[in-house]
Amino acid sequence: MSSSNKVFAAIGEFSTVKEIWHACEKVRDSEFTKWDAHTPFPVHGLEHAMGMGRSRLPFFVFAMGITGAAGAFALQSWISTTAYPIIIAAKPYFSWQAFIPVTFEVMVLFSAGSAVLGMLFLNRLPRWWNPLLESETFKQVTNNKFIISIEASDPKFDPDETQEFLRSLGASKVELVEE
Amino acid sequence: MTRETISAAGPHNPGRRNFLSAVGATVASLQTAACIRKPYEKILPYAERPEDLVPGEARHYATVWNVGGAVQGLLVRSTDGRPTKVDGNPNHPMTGGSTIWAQASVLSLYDPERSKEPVREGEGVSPDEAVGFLKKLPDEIGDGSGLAVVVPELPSPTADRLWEDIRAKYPKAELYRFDGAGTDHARAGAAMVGIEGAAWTTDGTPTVIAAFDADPIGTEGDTTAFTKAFAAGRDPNRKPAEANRLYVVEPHVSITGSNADHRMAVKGSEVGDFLAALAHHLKKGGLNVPTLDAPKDKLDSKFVKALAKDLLSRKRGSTIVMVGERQPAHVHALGFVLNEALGNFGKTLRFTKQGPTEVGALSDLVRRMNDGSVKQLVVMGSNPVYEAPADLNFGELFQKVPLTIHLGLYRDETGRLATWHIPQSHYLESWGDLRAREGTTAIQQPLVAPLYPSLSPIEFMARLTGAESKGYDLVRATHQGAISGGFDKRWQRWLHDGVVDVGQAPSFVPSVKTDGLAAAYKFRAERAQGLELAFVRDNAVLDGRFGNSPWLQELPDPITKIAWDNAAVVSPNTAEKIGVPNNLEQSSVRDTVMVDVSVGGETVRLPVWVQPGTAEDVVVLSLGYGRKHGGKFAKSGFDVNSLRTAESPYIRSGAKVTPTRKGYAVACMQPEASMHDRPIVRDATRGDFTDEPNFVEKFEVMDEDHVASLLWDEPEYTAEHQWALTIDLNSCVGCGSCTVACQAENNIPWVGKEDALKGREMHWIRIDRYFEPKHSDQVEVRYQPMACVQCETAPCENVCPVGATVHGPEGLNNMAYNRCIGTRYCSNNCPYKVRRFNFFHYTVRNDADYGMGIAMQRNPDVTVRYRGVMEKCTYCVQRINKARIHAKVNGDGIIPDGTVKTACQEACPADCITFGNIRDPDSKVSHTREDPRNYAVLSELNLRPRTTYLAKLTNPNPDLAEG
Amino acid sequence: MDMRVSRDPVDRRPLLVNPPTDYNGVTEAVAAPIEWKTPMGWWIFFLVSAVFAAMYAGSTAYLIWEGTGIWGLNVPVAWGWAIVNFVFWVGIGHAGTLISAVLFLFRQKWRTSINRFSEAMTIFAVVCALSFPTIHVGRIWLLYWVFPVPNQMGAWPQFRSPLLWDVFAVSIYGTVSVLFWYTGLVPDLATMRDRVKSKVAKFAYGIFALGWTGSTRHWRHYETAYMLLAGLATPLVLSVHSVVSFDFAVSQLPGWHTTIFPPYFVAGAIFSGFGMVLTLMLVSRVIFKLEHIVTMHHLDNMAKVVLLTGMIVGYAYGMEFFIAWYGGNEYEMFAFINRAFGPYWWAYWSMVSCNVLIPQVLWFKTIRHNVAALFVLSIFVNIGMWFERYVIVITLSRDFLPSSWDMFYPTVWDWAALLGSFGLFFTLFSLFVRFLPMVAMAEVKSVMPESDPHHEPDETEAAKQPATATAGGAS
Repeated sequence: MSSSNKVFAAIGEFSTVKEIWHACEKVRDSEFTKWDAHTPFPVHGLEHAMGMGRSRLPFFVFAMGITGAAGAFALQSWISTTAYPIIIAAKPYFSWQAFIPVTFEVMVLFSAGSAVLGMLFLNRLPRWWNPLLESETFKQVTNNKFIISIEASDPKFDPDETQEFLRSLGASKVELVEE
Repeated sequence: MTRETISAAGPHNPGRRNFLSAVGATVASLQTAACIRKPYEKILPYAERPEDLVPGEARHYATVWNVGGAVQGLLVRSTDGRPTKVDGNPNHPMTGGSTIWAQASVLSLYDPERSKEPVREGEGVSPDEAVGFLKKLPDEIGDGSGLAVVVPELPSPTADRLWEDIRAKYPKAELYRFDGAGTDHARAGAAMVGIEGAAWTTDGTPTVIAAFDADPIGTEGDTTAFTKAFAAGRDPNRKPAEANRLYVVEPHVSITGSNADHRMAVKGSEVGDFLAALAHHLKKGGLNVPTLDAPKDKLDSKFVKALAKDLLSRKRGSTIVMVGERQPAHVHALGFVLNEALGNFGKTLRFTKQGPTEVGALSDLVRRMNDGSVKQLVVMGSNPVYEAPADLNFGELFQKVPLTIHLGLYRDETGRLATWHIPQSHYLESWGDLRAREGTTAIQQPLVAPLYPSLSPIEFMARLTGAESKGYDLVRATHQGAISGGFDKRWQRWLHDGVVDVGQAPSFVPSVKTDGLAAAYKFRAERAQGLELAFVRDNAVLDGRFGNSPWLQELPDPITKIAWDNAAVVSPNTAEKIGVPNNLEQSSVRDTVMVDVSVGGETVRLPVWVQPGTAEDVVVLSLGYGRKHGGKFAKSGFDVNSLRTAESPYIRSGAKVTPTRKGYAVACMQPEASMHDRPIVRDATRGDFTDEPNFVEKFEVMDEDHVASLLWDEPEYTAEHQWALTIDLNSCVGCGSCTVACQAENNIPWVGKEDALKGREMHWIRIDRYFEPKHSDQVEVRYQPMACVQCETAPCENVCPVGATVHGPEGLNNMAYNRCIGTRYCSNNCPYKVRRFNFFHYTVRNDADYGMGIAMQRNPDVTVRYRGVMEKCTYCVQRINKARIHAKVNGDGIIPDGTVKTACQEACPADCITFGNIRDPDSKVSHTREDPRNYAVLSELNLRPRTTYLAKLTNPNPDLAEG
Repeated sequence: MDMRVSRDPVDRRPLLVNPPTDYNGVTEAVAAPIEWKTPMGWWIFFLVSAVFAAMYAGSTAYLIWEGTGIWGLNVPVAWGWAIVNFVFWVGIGHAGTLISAVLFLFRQKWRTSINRFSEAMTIFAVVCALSFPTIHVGRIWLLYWVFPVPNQMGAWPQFRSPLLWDVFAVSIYGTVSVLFWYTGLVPDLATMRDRVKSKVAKFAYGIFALGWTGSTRHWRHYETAYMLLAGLATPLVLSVHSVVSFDFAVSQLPGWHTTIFPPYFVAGAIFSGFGMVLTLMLVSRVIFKLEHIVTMHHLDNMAKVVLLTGMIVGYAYGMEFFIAWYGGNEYEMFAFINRAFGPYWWAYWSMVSCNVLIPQVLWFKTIRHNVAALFVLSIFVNIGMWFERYVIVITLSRDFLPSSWDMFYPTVWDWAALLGSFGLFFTLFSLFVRFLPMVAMAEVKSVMPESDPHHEPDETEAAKQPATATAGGAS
């Protein structure tokens, strides 16, 4: 491993959920802030082991859903009563009952869209270049390995000590990832 | 449908130039005479607009025409010089509404297959050559010993005058009459009882009408005038004694038969016997009638007894016994005798002195052709080669004649065999005059100069005498003598009114010679063996002369609802005997089988069709189909003339019908005939109506308060005009004029047989006909014109995603054609299924079929619909808007009642359609909607239709009450 | 191996019978079909489908050129096979989202093996479905008029029309399904990105993997989003077919104008959807050797759903008749008698036998566990559900006025569109199984026993563990 390049992060590899779970609890209790746990699948509760709260996404989605519904209903009402009022089967211009289906559908569209986009936004995705993805070790994380990464930008980060720390957590394999 | 286009290269194709010049000529002065050269004189291009003509403003001109001697006064709409619509002229005594043929005649003017140039021995020649030939003709004819002229029914004073000239010039010349829609049998019958040189008519006012194989509503006589009076005679407000009652005895279900109060289906050959039986009973009733031989079973007929009783019970001279042209002379003779005895002469049966005498029949001519004494044969405006009964073998003899000249609108079967074919001017292109059977003369004025070099009949007759006079002068010359001084002023008035107020044909009351009748009318012992063929004039194409009109071809037959074809029509029982399936009982009604109809060695193969109400052991064959040289539309159907004989051209016994393995699809436009006990057409007898005037309510499937309420408050219809229309089912006779009129007015395309088969016809107003097909030879037909009923709570509007069909403030259910994207949801949701969809670009297909002709006919006030667009009736909204503009320009903007007439209303001979504004309590339609018979079809759906119907009343004879 | 039978924490049902030994095993099993050298069988299947798809394209081109008249349509039957096919495909398009969303919300973990598969099917079915209303209109070039687009004519759509609701419902359903499907794909795409050798493939997977690193901080939002999508898709899936049913129910035709339609259509949709999933699944799991992931247990469950929904549909058929009689509306009565005994009786009875009678065999476990039998049955279900829509649409042929009654006869172009749409469907599907992981690896892994942070190889130990998936509190 040539040390010519700038170090991006130190990664430690674990092979079972149990291991990484306890490792995360330990990292959480240390003062590291810029660290993360990578798993091939969502490990339930791991975010708690990492000391994170719940996602703020739902509020965002709720707001967008309301917007969509209101917007759709308003649009239909405006069109049918103001913009283009025509006598249809002797029905009132403002036949709100008929506007419900579209209102509902648009509500769903807005919420679903905002759920996905919001998720990407909160995750700062898409991010097509990521130093971690260059590491052969790291590639296994999308298959069957569990990895804890501690970024070099962390004030408490020191290449050797941090690697040592990861080993102490029981990482089967530890390495530095360069930018 | 064949989609071949007419070649635009033809030398005489009506190019834009010719057409415009023609228009110019017409506009310049209506004096532009039809002449065999193109009119060089008085071309007036639009560069200088005549001040009396506003482009786009339609103008109406009165004219007149005749079909088989039935004269009709017409009003023709001319749009920028193009005739675009034909309707009846109310000023004319023999006119109420108009026939389908008059309606369709405007299209035939533009028929691209009309003959466009003179033809000599199969080769087109220049007009000048033809002129040259006609110049030399008199010398060739000499004293006329070899000259024979075949004329159609042409009741024209000018023509009569010219006959005299021809006779004067060629003393030995012979005149023969042949007209596929003519009245030879009636004439012969009249002659038998000593009535000659006369014309007669019956206008339908009688209180008892006994039609013996006669079809005065459909295909015989002055149909529109008759229908008008007949419908009026059924007015519910009439006292029972004055309300008319129609008895019909006939083999096939005619339009008249379908409107009968009592109908008896019998073989055509037995109709006469029933008439004899009637005579017998009338004689017993004290009338002066010669004793006649009649078979026992006919004498015992309950029907005949009741009829006789009914006739005798009425006031003298208030009834009529009608005999149809299909019956032989002696039956007609008896008919006259009975009417004379009933005192109907001069009352319900009126005679006028007219018509050239000494006119031979076709059989006489054939006799002469056989002995070769005919050297020059002139056939004017008829088509004997196609229509003449086969056994006359006319075609061959025709070719043997050294010189044959044919004058015709088409180079038809006769024109092809003739030495010379001369194009005939369309009646909308030519000057002339016609005298109705009732006596009134009317001037026929052209709407447009001839589109092709051609001669009108009278011009042609003038040529025969060597004169080159133009039609205009010929007609004026005829009438000049009629009045003294100030002729031009009177002339203008005649042209304007469409009737000549002088020179009425004198009416008279002939006496009848009953001697010899008994001899002629002897009960024929030998009874017909096997099946009997009944040849009938077709309800659409008549004798075939209208065969090339796609409108008429696609107009479904009122009874069978078959379009584009004729068929061997039989009763259910007869079908069973023949061994063919009853197609009416199959799920795909249209699939039927071909049968071989053979008699006397001749065989015709055509599809069989089952029609309840047809007499047992009778095969009904309509004439006029399967033309060889009638044009591409006229080809459709099957030619049955080869089965006819001159001796009995309409009835032939001893026929055999053998089913074949071949199947055939018939374009039936209403596969389902039964009403399935739904309250669609509501009816009652006059008796029940007087007992219970509100009988229509008994039919309601939902009670008022259920239907009346809406879930929301409806918008107020505040506009000045709230349009509504009522259709009186008591008057409607099902003739179909409304359908064709609508087609002409609203640029409705025809779809051709292929698409008609699939059920894609475009008619905005159709005539539903119902009957319960369970009986075999008994049938009660109900008609119901059905167009968009303009629901106030229209289901179609609610489902259109783009709002292409919306409600107007005046209660119309409008179609914004250019907004329609063609989801067809509106049609699905329309309970009346009156919406029509352009599954293909029918308009363009019509253009391809018809060249620029159809474009010239189209009404510029109505959008031409594109492919993929839904269309339907909108109460002729273009006429409403025109009227509104006029009302705004010269008035307070209120459209007076009666100023807007829908096309169907205008065309209806029975006056069964009323249209107007229901905001105005005094409008005619407001009153008809007050009528106790008024009801809405499918009222239970709470659609609040603006079109409502007045229930039908029947007037059965108590003595014949069933059960 | 029995030791390794993993069980559902709730009811101890086996989740994966003979599951792959470990996570890597799952990855290998799922990725294998993609990494194989393209098998000849795939080529044949793909090309045949493509030919039919091309036929669809061709017939549509002719349709647009010549007019809807090339189909057997007429008045009164102004809607023909186009609408039949539309409803048929939309129906099929429901199982996917249902399996993914509803079963997800109900924590039915067995769904993980089949959800990707059925979501894909959903999307392709919706594509086919959307194509029909699009091409069936008379003037397709003006179709954009159904959208509220400001225009120089100042004209706007008419929102009382069920057709317009339909436009929104189906197109939005398609969009949401795609979002849902893609969101689920992202982690697996990342897996592919990290294992494929070819540069092109790596690049392509890389683009669509959006740079996924399996970060727990990401998983946190991801799972919330996925949960929300599921929560939204569930009412959506119910609403969509209800709206489709409005196309008929909101009209006033006898046989169409019935309030039972929405639930009946939804049941029918699930029914037909599962039918199609079965058809596809039974074939693919053999071809791609996924028997150990898509187990008998899954097939058994799906068969039960088919049986249930089949009977709901059957109930609807019966209830329609009852109400028609009980309602006392003569037109309604006639419409239904006509369905069963009128000229189209054969369609009606094919529908009843395929949808109600034949599925009754699923009461027998032996049938439910017989792959061949299930396959044949699923075909019947597909046919039956097509006929159900045909029966409904053809009701047009006889409505209020007998004078307007008429018959509908399909033309060769109707057939071209129907078969062609299947071609389109299978073309898309074969591309899917070739290039995308057809089983949600991440999800399968997450339900494997060792994925539970407190998993002990000892069964009894595991049994004591709280059933909840978020066992974080335990720490």
